[in-house]
Amino acid sequence: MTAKRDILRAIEAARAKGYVVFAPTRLEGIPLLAEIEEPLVIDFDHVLTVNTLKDILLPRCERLARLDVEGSGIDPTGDRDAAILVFGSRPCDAAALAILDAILLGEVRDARYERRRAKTIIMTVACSTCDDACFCTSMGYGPHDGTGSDVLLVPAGGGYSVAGVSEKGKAFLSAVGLKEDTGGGDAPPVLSRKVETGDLKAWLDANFDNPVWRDVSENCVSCGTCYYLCPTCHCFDITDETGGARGERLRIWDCCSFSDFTKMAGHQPRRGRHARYRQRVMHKFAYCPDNVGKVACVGDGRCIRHCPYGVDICEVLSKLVSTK
Amino acid sequence: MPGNAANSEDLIPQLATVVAVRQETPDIRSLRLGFESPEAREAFAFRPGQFCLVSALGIGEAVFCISSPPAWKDAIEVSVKQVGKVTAAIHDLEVGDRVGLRGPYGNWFPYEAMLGRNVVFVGGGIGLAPLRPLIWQTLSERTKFKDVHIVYGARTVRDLVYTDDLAEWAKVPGVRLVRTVDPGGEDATWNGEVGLVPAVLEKTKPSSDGVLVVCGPPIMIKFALLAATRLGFDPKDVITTLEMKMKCGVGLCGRCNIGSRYVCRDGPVFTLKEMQALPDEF
Repeated sequence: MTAKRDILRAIEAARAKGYVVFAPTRLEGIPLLAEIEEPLVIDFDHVLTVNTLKDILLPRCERLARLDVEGSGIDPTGDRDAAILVFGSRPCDAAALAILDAILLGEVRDARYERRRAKTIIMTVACSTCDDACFCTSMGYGPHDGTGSDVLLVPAGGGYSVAGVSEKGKAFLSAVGLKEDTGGGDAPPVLSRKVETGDLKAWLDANFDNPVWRDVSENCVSCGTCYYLCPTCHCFDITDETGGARGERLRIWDCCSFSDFTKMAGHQPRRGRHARYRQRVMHKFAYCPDNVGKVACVGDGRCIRHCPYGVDICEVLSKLVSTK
Repeated sequence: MPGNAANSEDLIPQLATVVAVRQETPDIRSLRLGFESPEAREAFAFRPGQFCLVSALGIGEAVFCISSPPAWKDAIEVSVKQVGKVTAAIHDLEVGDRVGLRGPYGNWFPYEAMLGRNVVFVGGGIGLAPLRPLIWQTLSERTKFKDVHIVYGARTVRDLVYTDDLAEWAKVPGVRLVRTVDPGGEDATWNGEVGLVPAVLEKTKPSSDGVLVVCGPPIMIKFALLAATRLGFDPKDVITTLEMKMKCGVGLCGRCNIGSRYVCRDGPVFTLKEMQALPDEF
């Protein structure tokens, strides 16, 4: 059992070595993953941060290049050089990275994501509590799962057990002087929410035109909150912003719920909110399995916790598979 | 090896220069783009059917099929219909202006599967653009194919593109060219057919023992595919190229899918057989 102060010391050692550290903090009471200057601000009492590792690895708004129409034309923006330590991600967030890796580092690799991912250490703190929106176990994960993590800390009798999950994680532990210590570990919390998806994939493959899609999407207002907070949603837009002859090419988050997502001049192939909601569900539960062999959902529950209109993906999935 | 050689994609265009412009119709303009170096042109080796993304620097980027024959050594061409902000900016470009260019991306027409067979090309409006390099490639090896039919139409006489190419193609032995305009689109000098392209296609009764390649506006494609089915073509011999809104062009940004297929990566060329397995979402 490793004491918390030794963990904080290891984080400080990483900072001294030049790592930029992200960790959960509280901003006006809200748990948020943010860049920290010193380990004392790290919050250990929250269930889940509102934001996800996406903020770090697939930034919301990223400059790809400077544009200089009359001069050099296109100047690609370089990467931030420092290595990154993400401390305090939860198992669901780390598992989401394994899904993003499958999508963004597949046949065609997203070069920027690839470089950031390679220099990031994911040091996950397993869950000692959960809330009624969590459903990671229904998606095949768990509150003490190490999938996607480089280092996994599990609460153990007031301290933590420490495991180097990946080779990168073991090397990191060695570099910051933290020993692996895998004895013990408190029992994981028990989730109250369960969703049985049964033959969901087969249902989705056969029911694209089923009128039930209108029922389950009735409350959705296409605000995009679920996209912004989902750890596996990754769709993006590329846009140029200029003032006169100079400007920037940006990559920004974009959401399939938005009405312009697929709209072309004179043609909109995805008509109606129900069609856009269907895309969200199909992409996560049918197309990603087809294309990369993984369901793009880890059961973190952020979409349920934060949807302003009470759209609950578990209720939706249950309703779908039980509809003829 | 055609296609995008690198599989690590940083989404940054190369620079290209407008070396020629040609106004095809009141709202369609063809731009010939030259490369910064011969090596850059060589690295851009493409096959008919593939597309590229052209940036009007500072305004935005849009997707265009490559509409020139692959045999052109020094340049490629894209044909641009003015429909919005980016295409309007591209229409304002003049010889000597620079653009951003990314590509070639996507799959290509199954040329090898067409060899030794009857071929029917069906185009509507600017839909002739992706077919043009394929038609040139086919006619440059004319003896490797049996009958070649080209059915091409537009809304009005003034909306027909590549009129010089059409005249050349009509002169090739064993090529039957049928041009048409929509009812009301003819003028006093028009000597082609009058009727919607899918209807004219059925009227020409091509042999169904062959390959049919079609491109045009979505609604025209849908009716042309129905016509091809009624004519008895095998769905795996009916080929089209689809267009969806695109941003990254390489299968990362999640935008251009029809069902589980990404038009930028699994297309834009699809057979009717493949499309029958996809949702009607295009």
